[in-house]
Amino acid sequence: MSVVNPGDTVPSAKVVVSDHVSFEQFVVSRSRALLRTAYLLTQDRHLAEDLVQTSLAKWWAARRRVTGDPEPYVRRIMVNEFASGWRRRWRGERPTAEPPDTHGPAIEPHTDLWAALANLPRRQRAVIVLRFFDDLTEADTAKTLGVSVGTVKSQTARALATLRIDPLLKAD
Amino acid sequence: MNVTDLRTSLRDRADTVTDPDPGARATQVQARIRALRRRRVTGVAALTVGTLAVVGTAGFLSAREPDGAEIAGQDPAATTITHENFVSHSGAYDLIGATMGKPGESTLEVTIPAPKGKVRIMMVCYGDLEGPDHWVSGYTGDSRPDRPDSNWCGGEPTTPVVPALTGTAPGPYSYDPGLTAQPEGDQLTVHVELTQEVDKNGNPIENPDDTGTYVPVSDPNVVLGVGIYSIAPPETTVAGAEIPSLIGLDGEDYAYREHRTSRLGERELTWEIPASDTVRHYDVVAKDSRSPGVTGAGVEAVLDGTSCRFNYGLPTFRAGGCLLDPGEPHTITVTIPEQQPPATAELGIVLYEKVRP
Repeated sequence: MSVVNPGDTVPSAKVVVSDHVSFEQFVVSRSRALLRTAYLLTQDRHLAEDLVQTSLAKWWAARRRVTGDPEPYVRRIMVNEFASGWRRRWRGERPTAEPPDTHGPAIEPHTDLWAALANLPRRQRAVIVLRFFDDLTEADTAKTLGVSVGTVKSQTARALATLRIDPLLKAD
Repeated sequence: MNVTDLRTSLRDRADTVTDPDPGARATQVQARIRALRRRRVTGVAALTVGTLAVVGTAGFLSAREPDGAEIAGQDPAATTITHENFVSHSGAYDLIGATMGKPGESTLEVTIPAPKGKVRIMMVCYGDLEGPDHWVSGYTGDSRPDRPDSNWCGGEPTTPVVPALTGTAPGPYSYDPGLTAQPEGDQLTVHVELTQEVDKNGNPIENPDDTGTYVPVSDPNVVLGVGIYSIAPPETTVAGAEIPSLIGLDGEDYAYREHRTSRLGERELTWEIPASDTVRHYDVVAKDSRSPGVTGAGVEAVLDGTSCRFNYGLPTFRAGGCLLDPGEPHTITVTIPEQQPPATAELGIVLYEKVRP
């Protein structure tokens, strides 16, 4: 397969990132953290894996322009890939509706939040994950997403308001 | 719910993610990089050949523009034009006009002979922008609509624009597939301008999910651009989706070959595809795949039982699957998770074959 998926096995090859950290070392040591963020963004284990691998591959392509710790760069790629329509774009989907549909039957509280997060637009979901899971400051979140701090503030406020007023969360 | 609850919930969810073998991921990414490099080398070679052919035959025509920007347009019936900021060809798209403005020019206007079918208009806006979010807005015809098609401005692009495949990260300058229009008359005029979206009180809207009115603004550092692509007519329709005769993937064309569809209301479609000596690609199509009010996972597509497993969120979509290796048979299974999907639900699998150079 030209597209490699979890579980596939292929011959290993050393890809040297710098004098201090190899590609493999970085992936082994840091990709679990990236996967956790990707899972919160995509809400799907397989899509999260694909998003992480896509981002790592893009970083590798640009690695000679990246100085210092590569993780912020990879994280920036990952979040922007997701927020800019990753998968929807690659798969040719048209944004006729934002998935998924809303307001199913009553479910557990944490699942309620999970479903409510899914109802947020992608950029708002990305802001929420960066601010309240990765604990980035507003400035760092803005830098990661390539938007102004004002936009981060307004997106955060709007997302939190949406989560609070979401009917799925009224029982809380 | 408060912010502390939100943090706890996010952390609890993230803790459910297991990652037993990150070393395997490194191997998988390396394989993906090798595949990308192979495809990229092939794509660049194909593009170079196309460029040489075009340079020899292209007869550019003039197009009016208000701010002195250089315009390159061509008879759409002839070979596609070349432009360093826009790919000349990708799948069903052929570049028929393109221009980039100079820094500080806040409007562009391009007029070219109209092709017979639809066009895709790709807008570019980048620069060291001042102030709050700027937008590049575009429209066709003589009068500006209340809400033109628009994209954010962003960082300077490092790769040419590919129609319907935008939003490179980081620093994207375009987040959607562009404006699709059906030209009327003999000529097509496209307007592109720098705008700011304001609310009813005239205050800039910073949240991209809000909507307002787009008003023209100027910025000394901004660079605008526009590429106009003709779109080949669709080959057929599958589950309500128009299927192009060609699709572009990583600089290479894949031609439509055949498709399979489910019966209305069925929740699974399986296609056993015989081996071929060429690389193929498949799209997954679905219509009305989810009942109103139902949440959870969407349509799932799986290749050969375990590979290339994707879950598609939208109830109606046409989405890309994966490449199929030559020399071996493949089985694609598409499933709707609902036990009783809507009676109008329909699934489709569309097969494309790589075009030999």
